[in-house]
Amino acid sequence: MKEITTSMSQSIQSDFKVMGTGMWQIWKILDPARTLWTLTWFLIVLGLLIHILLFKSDDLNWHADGRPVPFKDAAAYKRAQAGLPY
Amino acid sequence: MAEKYNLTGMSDEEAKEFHSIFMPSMYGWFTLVVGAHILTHLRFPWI
Repeated sequence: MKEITTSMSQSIQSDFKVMGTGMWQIWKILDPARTLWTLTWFLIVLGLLIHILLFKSDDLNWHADGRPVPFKDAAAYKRAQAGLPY
Repeated sequence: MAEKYNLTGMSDEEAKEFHSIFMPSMYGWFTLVVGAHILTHLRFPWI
């Protein structure tokens, strides 16, 4: 049993070693330029999608949840002290 | 697999060079995203 466990452990470690040292070879399969454009547009669309979903929700819309802007009073006080009209 | 197929025509040196730029960039992006989520959760906890 111990030998089997040791063998499995060595096999797993070997697999990870291969993964750790050879992942650069992915760029011989995937075109880097195409991958970067795909990633770029995927992340932009994902980010926009998540923001739209949050804004459409009732309790996760931070523009209409009634919570005050942080340090709003402190900022107003500083502006007043500086003599600014706004 | 990649040892048998070279679909992009990149040499080993080119692939390694791109990989050496891509991986830190990816980890940097992940760090940025995790940091943004931590800050956002501190202000607007959703869990």
